[in-house]
Amino acid sequence: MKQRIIVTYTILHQTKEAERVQRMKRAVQDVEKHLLLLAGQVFASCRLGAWCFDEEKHLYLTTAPYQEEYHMFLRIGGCLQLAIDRMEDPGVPYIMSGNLGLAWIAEWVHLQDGGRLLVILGPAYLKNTPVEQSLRSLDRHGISQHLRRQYLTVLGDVPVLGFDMLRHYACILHYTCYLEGTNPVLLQENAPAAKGTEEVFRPAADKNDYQRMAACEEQLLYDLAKGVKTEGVLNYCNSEMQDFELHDALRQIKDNLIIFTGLCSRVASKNGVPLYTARATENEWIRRIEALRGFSGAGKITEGMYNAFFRQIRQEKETGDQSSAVRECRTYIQTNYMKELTLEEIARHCGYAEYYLSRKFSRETGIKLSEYIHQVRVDAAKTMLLTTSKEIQEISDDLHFGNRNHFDRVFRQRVGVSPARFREQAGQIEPFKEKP
Amino acid sequence: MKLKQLEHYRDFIEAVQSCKSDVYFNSREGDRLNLKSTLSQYLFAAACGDRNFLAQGSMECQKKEDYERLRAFMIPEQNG
Repeated sequence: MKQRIIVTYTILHQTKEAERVQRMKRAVQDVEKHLLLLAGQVFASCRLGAWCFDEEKHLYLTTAPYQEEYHMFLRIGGCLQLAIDRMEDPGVPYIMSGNLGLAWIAEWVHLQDGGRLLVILGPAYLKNTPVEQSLRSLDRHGISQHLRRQYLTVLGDVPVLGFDMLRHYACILHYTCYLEGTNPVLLQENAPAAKGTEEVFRPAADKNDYQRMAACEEQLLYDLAKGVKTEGVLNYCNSEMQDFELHDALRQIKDNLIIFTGLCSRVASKNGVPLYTARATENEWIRRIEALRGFSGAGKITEGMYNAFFRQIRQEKETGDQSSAVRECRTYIQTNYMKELTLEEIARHCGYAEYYLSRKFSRETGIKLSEYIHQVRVDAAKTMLLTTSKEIQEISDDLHFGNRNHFDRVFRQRVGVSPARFREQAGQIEPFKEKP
Repeated sequence: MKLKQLEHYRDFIEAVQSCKSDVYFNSREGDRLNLKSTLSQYLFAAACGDRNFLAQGSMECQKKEDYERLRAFMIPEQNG
């Protein structure tokens, strides 16, 4: 036993590249044997299942109970696809969170014959929050007792783990396969894999981390007030996540983000953004934060919320020479573009005569009021085309373009391509540049 | 229409996902699961282990072409 501990210690402290390669070779030779041992260990310790898939998504080994059901959960939640998309990136363990808050750990492993093996550990619930959320969903949908019982029986075998435990199992999985330590990466739920956007977990927080978090928060709010673009938002979110284990993990991260949203909103209203706009934005992002079903969307939400306030402050700074009537008018359009907007209604809201407001708007902004409404709606359409699966006709109707032809024409005039083409080519070519 | 006993119900759910409109599974207990919704898919997956659940429920598609997509999973209706 003593000898074995010394060997392990030596392996952990080897750093030279050649030695690392040797270690890798040895790990690959033994990986299948090690994985079987790991699968037994994680199941024995907390009933966490182990799954092995080949490169064609074929399952050939699992230790999980309710194999068919959990296999479906893995697919429905999008986590299997998320892991498959990472095939070209072996040697990195991922923690994924799908719908219903079921969490999974995954890693691609090299095999002796040159093939690759996807190893997944899961499912696990993070504390009790998602279970309670599931129950509330069942209540809301009036699901019968019979179906409810079956559902809860299957979910009853899912172990409830703290986030730190999940992270430890991810580290153990990686060590089993590669004989080296690493930090697992958190993948966004149901999002296509994109290199460089992951949130990497660092070791647990100590007192200095709280100080760093506070400093980071202060800096972000300072930058926001100045309208200076900053890149630290995701780092801030990661710092927040280190404190996950103390209470109800998901609730805690939501509370932190809601407080940060309130602070950003206050900074925005102090820097010229109309109070109504700042509060509307704040409420919208709080709604999105509350709708988070897993922990892994938090980084994106934080970034999106911060950028929304950043854009508003920036816009205010750029249009500071515009009259309050025009700013009020723009704010009204920005917050009501999903409704049917008429000049009469906008003028009534702003408290000016239609003709006066229309002339004033054109003079100060250089574009007609109707063109501005189109501009705001086309921006919204672009977002909807890329982030929703709504039919183009539905988007056109939602944004009150009247009919599809008109929507196509206005969109093409501003973006250069039709909405359908825009959606089809998104991500495949250079970003579209708007026509001046 | 009735569903056959499914050997791998993930194939069935994948076929449902390819359908053009909503697909419902009506259970004997009165649950109406829209199999295009994620929560319903989870519920369906959890209940499929019970053979009676499938045998006593029925499928309903909103578009005729969707019945064609799911034909392989359904028990043909008897004429007359």
